[in-house]
Amino acid sequence: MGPRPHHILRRATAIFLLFLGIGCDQSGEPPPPARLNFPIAIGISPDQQVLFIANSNFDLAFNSSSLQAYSLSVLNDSLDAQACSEDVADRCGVIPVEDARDDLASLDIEPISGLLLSEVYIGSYASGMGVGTRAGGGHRVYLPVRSDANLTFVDVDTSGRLSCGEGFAAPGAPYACTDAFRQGNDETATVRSIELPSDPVGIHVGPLSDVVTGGGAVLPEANYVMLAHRDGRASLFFDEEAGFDVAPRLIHTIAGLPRELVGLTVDPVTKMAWAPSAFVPLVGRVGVAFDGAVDEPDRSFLFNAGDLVVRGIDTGRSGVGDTRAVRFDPRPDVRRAYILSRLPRAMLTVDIDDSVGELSLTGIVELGLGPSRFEVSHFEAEGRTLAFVSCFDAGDLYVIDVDLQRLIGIARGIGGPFEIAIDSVTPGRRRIYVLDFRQSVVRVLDLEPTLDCLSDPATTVESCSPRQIGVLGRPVSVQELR
Amino acid sequence: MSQPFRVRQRARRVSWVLAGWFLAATACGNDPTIVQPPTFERPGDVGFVCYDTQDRALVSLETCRGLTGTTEDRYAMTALVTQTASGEVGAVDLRTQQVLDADPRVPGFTFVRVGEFPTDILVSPTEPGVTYVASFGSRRVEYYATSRFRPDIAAPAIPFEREGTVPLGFGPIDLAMAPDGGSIFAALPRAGMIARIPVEADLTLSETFEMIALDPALGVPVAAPEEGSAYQRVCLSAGVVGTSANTRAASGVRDLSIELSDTTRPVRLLVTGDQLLVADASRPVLHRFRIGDTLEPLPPIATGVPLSDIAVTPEVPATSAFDETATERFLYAIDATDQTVLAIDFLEGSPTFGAVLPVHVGDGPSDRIRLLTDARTIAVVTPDFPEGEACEISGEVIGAGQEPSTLTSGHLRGVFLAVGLNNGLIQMVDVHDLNANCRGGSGCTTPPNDSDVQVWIRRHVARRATFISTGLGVVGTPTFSFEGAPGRLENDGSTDGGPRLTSIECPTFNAQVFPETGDPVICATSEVWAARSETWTTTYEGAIPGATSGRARIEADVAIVEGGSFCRRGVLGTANVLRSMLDAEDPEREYLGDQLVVTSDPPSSRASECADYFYDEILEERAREIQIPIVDAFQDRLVLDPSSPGLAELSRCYPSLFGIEVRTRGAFTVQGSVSGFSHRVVAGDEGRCLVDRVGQPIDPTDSSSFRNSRAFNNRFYQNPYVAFQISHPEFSVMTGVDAALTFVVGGVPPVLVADPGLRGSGRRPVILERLVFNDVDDHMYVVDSNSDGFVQYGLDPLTANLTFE
Repeated sequence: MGPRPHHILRRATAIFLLFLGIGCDQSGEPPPPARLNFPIAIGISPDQQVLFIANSNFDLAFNSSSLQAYSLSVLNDSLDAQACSEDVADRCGVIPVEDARDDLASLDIEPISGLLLSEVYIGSYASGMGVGTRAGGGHRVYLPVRSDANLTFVDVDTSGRLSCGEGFAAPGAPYACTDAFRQGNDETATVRSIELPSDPVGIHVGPLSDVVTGGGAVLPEANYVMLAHRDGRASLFFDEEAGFDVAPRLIHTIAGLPRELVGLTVDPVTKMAWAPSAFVPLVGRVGVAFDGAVDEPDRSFLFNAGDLVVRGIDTGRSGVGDTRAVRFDPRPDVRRAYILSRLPRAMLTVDIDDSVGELSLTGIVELGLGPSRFEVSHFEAEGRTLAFVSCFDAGDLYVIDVDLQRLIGIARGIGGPFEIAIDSVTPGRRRIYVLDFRQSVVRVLDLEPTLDCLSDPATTVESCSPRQIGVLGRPVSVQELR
Repeated sequence: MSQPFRVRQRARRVSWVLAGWFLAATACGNDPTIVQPPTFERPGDVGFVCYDTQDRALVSLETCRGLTGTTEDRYAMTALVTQTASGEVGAVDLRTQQVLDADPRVPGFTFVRVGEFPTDILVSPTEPGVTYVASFGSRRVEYYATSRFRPDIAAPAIPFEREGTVPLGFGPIDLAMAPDGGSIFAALPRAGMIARIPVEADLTLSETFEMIALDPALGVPVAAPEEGSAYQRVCLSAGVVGTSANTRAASGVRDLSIELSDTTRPVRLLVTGDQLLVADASRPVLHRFRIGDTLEPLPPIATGVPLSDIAVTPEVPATSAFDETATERFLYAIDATDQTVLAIDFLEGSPTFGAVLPVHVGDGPSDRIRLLTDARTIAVVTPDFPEGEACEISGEVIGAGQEPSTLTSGHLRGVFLAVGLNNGLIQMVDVHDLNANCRGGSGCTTPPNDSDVQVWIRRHVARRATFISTGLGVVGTPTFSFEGAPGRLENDGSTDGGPRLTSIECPTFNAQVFPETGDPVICATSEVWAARSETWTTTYEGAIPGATSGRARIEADVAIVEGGSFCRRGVLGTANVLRSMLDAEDPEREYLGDQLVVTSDPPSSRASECADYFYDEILEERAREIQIPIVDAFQDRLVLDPSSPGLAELSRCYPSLFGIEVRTRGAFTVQGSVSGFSHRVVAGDEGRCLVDRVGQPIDPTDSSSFRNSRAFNNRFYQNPYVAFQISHPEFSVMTGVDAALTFVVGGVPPVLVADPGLRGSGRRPVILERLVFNDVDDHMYVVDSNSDGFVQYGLDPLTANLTFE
């Protein structure tokens, strides 16, 4: 008799918890180079040249996960050349030539040279990504990693090559980031003798000048990094731009925020971070106190700015709430926040300035099953501000006109859509990249027809919904999950 | 099946179980997956047709009037429900209580595919053969033979090849039909226009349509009457007092602080008589047109705010005495800026036609209906009206065979406003209750039901759910803690050596709630519809909620908090009180101003010389606190008293940023668990905080105007909910004292609500998309887009009859 399912379940659970608790530094095989494996976080470089993707190694098939850098121009040019028809766009696309494999026969997936710029190995279960600029050129990618509770950082040069301890990695030749690039777990290295709490789940990166109060002192060129932790904590790092390979410093950490945080987003006006909870009807708020009048960054601290109660919506029962993400309207003259809710499943619109003690709701737009992540972007030429929402359980990407408070499009059949990146700055290229967690690919959607459709009353097309134009990576169906 | 294969299968299953756990942990999902075959998917709107089961044909909607709702009926009311997510229309047979499968050849429920995001559906009540659908995503109006949705119909009104679409270029979100059925109107919010589409003789739509622009002009506001409607039925028991009518005048059209767009945005259409009404979610007007061969613009109604939904009542008697020679008519609307509900005089010929009416009771704006929370959708429901007889107290059988003694608040006959709230509940508001005169008994004596002693029914006021036989009261015993002593409050208001409450005279429309007998010590508003059950906490020199910051900095004698909002929180300094030019009756007059208190530790570099200001984890307090009186409060800064020793200490020990909170000074901070810290403070010129004496004046005869939260020693205190007076010989000169009065007011009868989230033994979150009253079957229908529900409610009594999902 074979093993009973519940025995398998117990064993697997134990293994899962073990890895979650103590880290994933198993001595197994590293992931195959250039392979997408349960992609979990996505980002675009500020110069719009590089697409960063963090894989999660969710099934623990390998001894680590990876951060990959892709050329956006190569990706889009090759997809354009591929000209996948929409009805097969989930099986048609491109893959890095370095991802050598022999299982592409039944698919229209084209190996492309120059697509993958670089790759490094990181810890398993990254849970977000922040990309900061560096004054000397290049960028730095910051990743909260849950497996061993650290802030991993990776330097990026102007060519999109990644470096985290052993020089810039060539495509197809990844290496594991060294310990010096995993920060937060050495309390002796901090002024306050503190250690990074467990389960970092959300990240924000911004220039330090954003959070300086007052003035006078000569401040270093630096980024600040704020992390949210699942158990209701937040942490602050400063990252002075002294050069490549110099690590960010953990400055402060606070507790007392709502439980089961799932991320954080910073209000561009007040610089206060809003942190939604998947457990209670509260949105925590945390601020950075950095006195610009004195040249002592280590005195800076995080402070709890008070929770906002999510009230007046139907969460099913009292005391329960489930909000997943916050975004702020990108227009400087519009003071609105948008909050992704699962109970009920909706995008909530909030008047920021009128939210005193509780959220001041001004709109509710219903969503599909399992709303998980979203982005809000303004398209100046069309005068539209649109929210793109991944509905994981439904496998859909919802598009909402935030001013009309109306659903205007649904892109269907995306497997397990999760994080989203919007690429709309480069002229002639307005696209969305959606991580398909279930099928381990990146779905690429063209926004141009949608925006044309929305702005042209004469068009008679059936739908203005975004169109899939192909995938990055090789789709892995359920039957192939190991 | 081979064993290894089974194991692999199990492993895959386990992997996916783990995937689920991981996603829950990483914030990807903890909703249970719905495994049942889906029927409804994000339903949006509903239309009705009447089906003749014998002749297998559609008949006029009126034919379905008076049905028993059983399979014995020859005719079947059928609902057509739009599925906005899937782009379909599904049909429900309300007679057999079954969702209809449009294509039995396909397993599961198959609905008819229409355009993308169908937002509205329309069927002529007299010519039901063709159904019109507004498809927002496809930006057109479509028309289908209604038989597509009920395949058992013998002959379609039009052949399928005659079905078609009218592309509009902009997404329509609402439809309405002209009274003669000759045109369909579509609201196009993005275009800021409405489209008029002619209906051809064969019920198809003409391809040639007219786009009609809406005039963005604001219109002329009409002054509201000084008093609200006289319609009410109020029976009081001994010791309870209530107003005879709403005496607070409406504040008139609001001086909007919101930014108004220049463009119009029609979102809701309503045809009443020969008029087309258009709610505008952008401009503060209700557009009106007379429907004829052309649409003739009528003077708009200046509503003061943009609107997101509208509903109109029939004409109703002006008073509960049923003097039908005097009638009233109302238009209800949802304010698009804050989701409150307003009432507008809509009786043609009324001298105040178009005025926003005074409708409120108790605390809050006078021209908004008091509801549990924000409104999302509204509908006027008219069960048994106008044909039903008003209840007579003689004891005869009324309504549907009911004895007057069986009547409860839940029996709805007459005219009511149903308000779908953001919290998923549906609240009922009284307009004209045909049962009212049987409630409480003739002359408010000998009620038909012994429990129906107190009756509180008033036009435009939320209906109560239960009989009210007792009044409000204090739950448990109030306490007045003082320096660690618990301080149980005795009936005479005294405590054991601490501060006390003195006996008072209850303000108008307040009643004694503590003690139960003897001289009153605590009073509370006795008007059921103005009262709240909540806990009141009154703390000496307590913190003002929200008036805090973690990154204040000091420049000379000014504490600066970038992005602060002290006025919004209600902070006052000495100069703010003086500049407010307060009258004798203003409770803040003579107040010395609040104080700033430092709440963070000094930096470690000041550890030795400023040790007293560090928080002691063991004592759970600081040895000393820096407290500095506020001279002048602005939205983002506080000018501090330069002579205060605290200011020097602040400079010495806090060279960098510090945390603060603002507390009252020499006063008690009064806070309700629901009402919070209410105040009249607004930001004036240069962001200076001022008491809004002009915009929110104090009326000494109306406790609901006393929006203030600072109680002073030896001074009578009242707010819209409670009144008391604290007395202690030394409070006026004390500071840093630990003293707090706490009591709970309870016994407020709940409001009448329907909860469409109740499903079986559990409850699901609800987003109310639409409420629709079907005046042929006298039922209210609720479309819930979150839980994919469609619920039929009976109204006499209010009960969920059927739920489809």
